[in-house]
Amino acid sequence: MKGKRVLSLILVVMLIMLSMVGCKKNETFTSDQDAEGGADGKVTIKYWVPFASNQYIQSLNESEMYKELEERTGVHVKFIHPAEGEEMEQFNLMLNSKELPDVIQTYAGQYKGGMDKAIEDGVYLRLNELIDQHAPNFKKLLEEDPELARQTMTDKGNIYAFPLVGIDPDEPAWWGPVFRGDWLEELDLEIPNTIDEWYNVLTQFKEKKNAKAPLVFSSRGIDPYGTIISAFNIGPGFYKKDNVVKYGPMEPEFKEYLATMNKWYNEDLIDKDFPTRDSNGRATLITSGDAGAYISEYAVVDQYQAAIAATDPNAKFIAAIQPSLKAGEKVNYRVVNERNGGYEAVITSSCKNPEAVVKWFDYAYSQEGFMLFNYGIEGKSYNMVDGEPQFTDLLTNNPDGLDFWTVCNKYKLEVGPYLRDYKAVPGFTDIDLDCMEQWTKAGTDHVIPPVNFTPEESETYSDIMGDVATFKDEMVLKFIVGEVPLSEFDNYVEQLKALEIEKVIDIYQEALNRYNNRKTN
Amino acid sequence: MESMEQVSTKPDNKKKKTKWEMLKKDLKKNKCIYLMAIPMIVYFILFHYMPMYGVLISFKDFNPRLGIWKSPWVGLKHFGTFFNSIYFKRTLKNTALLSFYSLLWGFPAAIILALLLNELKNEKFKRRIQTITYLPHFISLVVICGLIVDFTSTDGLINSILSNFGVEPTNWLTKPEWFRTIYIGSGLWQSIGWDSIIFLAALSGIDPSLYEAAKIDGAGRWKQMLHITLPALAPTIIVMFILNIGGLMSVGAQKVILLYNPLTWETSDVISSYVYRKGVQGAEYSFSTAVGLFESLIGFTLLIIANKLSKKITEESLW
Repeated sequence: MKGKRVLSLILVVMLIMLSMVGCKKNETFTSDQDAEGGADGKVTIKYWVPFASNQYIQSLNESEMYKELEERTGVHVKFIHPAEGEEMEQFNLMLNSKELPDVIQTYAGQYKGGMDKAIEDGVYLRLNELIDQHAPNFKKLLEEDPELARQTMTDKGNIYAFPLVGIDPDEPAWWGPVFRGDWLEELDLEIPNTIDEWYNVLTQFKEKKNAKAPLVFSSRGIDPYGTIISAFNIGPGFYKKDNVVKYGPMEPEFKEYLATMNKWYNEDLIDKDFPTRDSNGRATLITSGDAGAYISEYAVVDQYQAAIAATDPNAKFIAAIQPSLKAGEKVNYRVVNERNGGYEAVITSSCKNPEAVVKWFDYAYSQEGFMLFNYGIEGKSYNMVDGEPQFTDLLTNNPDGLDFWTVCNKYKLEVGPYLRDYKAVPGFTDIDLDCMEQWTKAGTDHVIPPVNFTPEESETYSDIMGDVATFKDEMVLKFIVGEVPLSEFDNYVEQLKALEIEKVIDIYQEALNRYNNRKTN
Repeated sequence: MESMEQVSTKPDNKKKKTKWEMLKKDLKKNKCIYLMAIPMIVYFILFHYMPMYGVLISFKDFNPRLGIWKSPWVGLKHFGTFFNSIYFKRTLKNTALLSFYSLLWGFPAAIILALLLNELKNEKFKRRIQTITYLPHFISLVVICGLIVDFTSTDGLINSILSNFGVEPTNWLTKPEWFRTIYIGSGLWQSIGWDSIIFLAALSGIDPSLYEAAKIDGAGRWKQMLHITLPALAPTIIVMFILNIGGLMSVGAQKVILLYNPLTWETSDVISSYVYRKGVQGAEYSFSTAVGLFESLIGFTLLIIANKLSKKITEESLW
């Protein structure tokens, strides 16, 4: 009897455990079937992509555009969206599991060790041959645009992904400085173009407009896209000068930059709380009318403009060019729209039918695909007016009262691997157009193109840069707020060298040389 | 019959058999309790013991595609990277000090609050105080830190109060010397009520007849607390203290990251926040695991030492 009881107990435990295991097995079985093909013989792609859902569209599976695409290509796509805010974690977890979806978009480039390593490890597929045979439209783009070809290729010559490609190779800059235009007018000031003019304008904002924060500033003390610091002829981080890589925060000119910022900070021209101000804090400061100038992107400037109208109907934001030291001098660092526009989609080794997937991707780079991805379905989301596509009221004046950005992903694709026209929006505001024009005046000669590191290089890079970044961030802020005098600058540079920053510069240099030497055909 | 014979041929099995029998007997007697314990046991095996072999990756260069077993061994490389960093000493010191001060202020505070609440005779008032003190525990850390950043900013609440006393407004979160005070002070406010619950529970378990007897003997409130309440609370206090000592080296990164900025890193940068920043550069699984293992080892050692000491001094201990 006793034995029987123990036995039954053990059996119960085993049963529970078995049922758990059983569940899991069932799940994998069904998903395996999905990957091979739907019931009606259609090719089905399992497509992992982060997606910001909203009340109008929860997942890309609901997208009218992708349904239309399925009609046209006969390929069914099953989208898998990671939880918002946990994309990186879920991407890593996914790689750790043995099962991969057929396509991974956007986070694919985070593969540790780089894309060559991913192909070597047999995780992603090399696409050169597949594109050659099955993707005539994308191939044509690569042939016509060597810079795009260079950026879609690794140092070893592997083409690894389908990226977002801008149809206009000279897309305007989207990040730059903005001033309170109404204050400038009121004080009878010109839009400032040089560092000295900035100083004058900010001082007047402080004295005459009582601005709490004449300039709202990045919490790290250096604008990430180089506004202000580029006036000193250096970049905010690594940059190149005639193909020689340099590190901005250790160049002699950086001392002048720090001296200027320190002066501005001491005279209350920079937001006193800038080291603790996060993006929400900055937005509040700007829209409450306490700020005279800030650095941001034009879409955000639109939002701020709308928000500040509630407190001050006269407030008007106006774009400025990136300042230089001397009038008329050209600065050489700004935000750049690389030809490879990101949102790269890779095909994994789990994909059973890569040819079909490549063909499907290629459609997005064709003329019909261009219209579908940018404008959606004719008669539904857009109409041709005088030979130009124009969005219908469904998107621009939605019956549910929703704005364009909430609605658009149901009928077109905002970002993803396709040939994109940045003008495929209902229309730019005057502020947007002004921003684009002013900001794009800065040059891009100092910007390093997207280079690849070898796995060994990226290891050295992260080993060294962990401590370098900590040291630099700490010292930069201390110099700016004056906690450490600028006479310490030479010691600071020595310490950077002791942390082996020069090794990283060398790595960058080699990677840049390899990039320049990539054979694009 | 057969089994009896087998046992008798192996003399040293006798003791084992009795143990086994005892277990069997106990199993039979309390079978429902054991059955109820199974899910927890399974949970611990599945989620706490089985993943433990994952610490192996701290001695390897972990590559997700190769898996834990096939990734190449690198010995103590990742520990070396951590120990050789110029920030190793600083983060170690900050971590130790931050949690030491947290314990120093936070631990007695919860006990004192519990004792004070225990002395309250008005039940309604007592319950209200309790609710109010443990409500902050349920506010998300992100919200709390948002409030702190707001309050300590140049034109924040604290400065507008202090300006009445002629103190120059400054952003308190950019002052390294104030970081610990802000961190621990806000932690105290947030967790004091919640932490006192366990002591209150222990207090409610004290036999009221003890107090009555003491009153008859002429003991006042203070004497009652010294001679009845505190001795009765001692086991709980000691267990909680030992557990807290075990966690001394692990300061969570979240709150630190939400409150710090490069200007205060010299006092605010702890091991976990340093690893977090370093981890951002790449998926540094092996490095993070190595540091985590280092933290656990120190915690484990501290726990054992504290337990031993407590056993010797107070005869109370965890095991």
